[in-house]
Amino acid sequence: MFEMEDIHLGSDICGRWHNRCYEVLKLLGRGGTGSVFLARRVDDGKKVALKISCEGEDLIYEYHSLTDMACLSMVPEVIELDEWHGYTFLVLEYIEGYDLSHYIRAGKCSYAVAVHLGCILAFLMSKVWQKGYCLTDIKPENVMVDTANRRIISIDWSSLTEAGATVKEFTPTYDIASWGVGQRMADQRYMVFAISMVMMVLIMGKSYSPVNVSIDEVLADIRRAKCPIGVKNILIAGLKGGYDTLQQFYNAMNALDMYDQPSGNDRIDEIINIALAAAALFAFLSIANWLTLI
Amino acid sequence: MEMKQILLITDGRSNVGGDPARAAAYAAQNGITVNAVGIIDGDNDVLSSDEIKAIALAGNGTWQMVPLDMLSATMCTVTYRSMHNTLENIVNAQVKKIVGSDMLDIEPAMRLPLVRYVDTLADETLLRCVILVDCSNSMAVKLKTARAAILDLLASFKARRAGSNLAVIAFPGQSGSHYQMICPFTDDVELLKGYLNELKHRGNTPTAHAINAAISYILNDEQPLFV
Ligand SMILES: Nc1ncnc2c1ncn2[C@@H]1O[C@H](COP(=O)(O)OP(=O)(O)OP(=O)(O)O)[C@@H](O)[C@H]1O
Repeated sequence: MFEMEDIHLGSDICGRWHNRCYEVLKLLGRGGTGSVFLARRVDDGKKVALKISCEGEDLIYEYHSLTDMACLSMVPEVIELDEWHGYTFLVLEYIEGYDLSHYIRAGKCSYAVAVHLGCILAFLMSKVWQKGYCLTDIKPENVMVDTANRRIISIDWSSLTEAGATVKEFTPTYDIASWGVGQRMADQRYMVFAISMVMMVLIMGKSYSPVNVSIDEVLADIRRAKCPIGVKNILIAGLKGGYDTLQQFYNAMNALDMYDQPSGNDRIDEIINIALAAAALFAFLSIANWLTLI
Repeated sequence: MEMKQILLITDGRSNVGGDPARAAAYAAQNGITVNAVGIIDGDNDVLSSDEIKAIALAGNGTWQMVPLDMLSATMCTVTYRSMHNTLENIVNAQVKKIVGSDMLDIEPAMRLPLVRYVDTLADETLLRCVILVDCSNSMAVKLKTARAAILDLLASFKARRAGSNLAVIAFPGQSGSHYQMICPFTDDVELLKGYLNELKHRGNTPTAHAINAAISYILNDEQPLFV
């Protein structure tokens, strides 16, 4: 387990290999294996996110995952990987904004926004799948709304796993196996379940734990929720392992007729999705504003 | 090759018997890695990370403190990470002997092939792991989750290329004993499931006794008080 004994706000972290120094400004988040800080590159004052851990191999994998996936939009830019006093650190583009758990804490989210986001995530994950991988730790904490650039970004790529391999990194709430619905295998059904649960949590404004709730209780909750039957059916199917592919899941959401049809052309689809991300962001912000107003 | 591990699951301090970190050091001397997962209790935070950390450090292992709902996921990551670390040390020592420098002399971004190699090795190494479950009274409400987490762990090992065997020892044991064998080494999930019904809460927390029992079980196949 990671402890931050050596790292204080204001300390300088200097890379052993690339000789660049970063001044630690603020703690952004703590995960199981490390911490993420906002830092300033001493050379030019550029603000970056610095992810630091004493388990180097996790960051080595994440560095390569991020570089492999860089061609997809919705991935933070990788700046460098280096070492300092026995710690390994990964320097990433700093995303100004909030992760989805911030919005969940603020309250429920409209089903339209949840569906928009579900589409964006399904689209991104289908691209990941086409490259032969599966992102296994999909959860609200790992999806950020970039308020400065109006993008949706998936920030945590350490759980990128080869298609068909066993899932080693997961969070029980979003893990199909913890609910007894499917296997802990890196496949499309695994990701569909996680995305459906993210949407569920957004719509209900609360999280569920498989330790004290059964999947039937979650399904009963969605049946009772105030939201169109079409959306309910998609979530129920997703949470029951009813979609074999992300494409099916994406198509079902698209058929809800909440926005334009995809053109079938990847590049145009991508542009539409970025536009959607902006639309989702708008909806998000207005909800967030509305919530803080009352 | 075979990897020997002890995985301690506890929610409190050891309060009977010797120093658990010394027992863990003894395990390490005998080629057994000791990992520890501490369960954090929201309202009654009796467990400090000091003891957990000391046990894992002495036992050459890894440790983590987690809330109950993360127990299962954490037992998986701690086990995999610890296997990785053990093998990485072995590979490093060998590489150093041959070329005079080791993995850490290579820039991290270039280290991926070695990291992958270590993970492949880990996947192909036989694992024997004794899980020590704290069954003191404070664990009463957590045993259901612990049971599920242990079954989950064995089930997830099925995806490994090499065999994996789990055994379970509870501490304290029946009628005033310090520990009790719950399940001998097995790779059979159904069998394990049956045995795990024997996990019952009672009494105090004799952690060191439990670690010592696990060591002699792993080294000599001496089954302590099997019921
Ligand atoms: N590039 C970034 N820009 C801004 N904030 C970030 C960035 N990366 C991470 N964060 C913040 O840090 C938190 C933890 O990040 P992340 O999930 O990547 O860490 P982790 O150690 O891998 O955690 P986990 O145990 O969830 O895998 C995030 O929830 C987010 O709030």
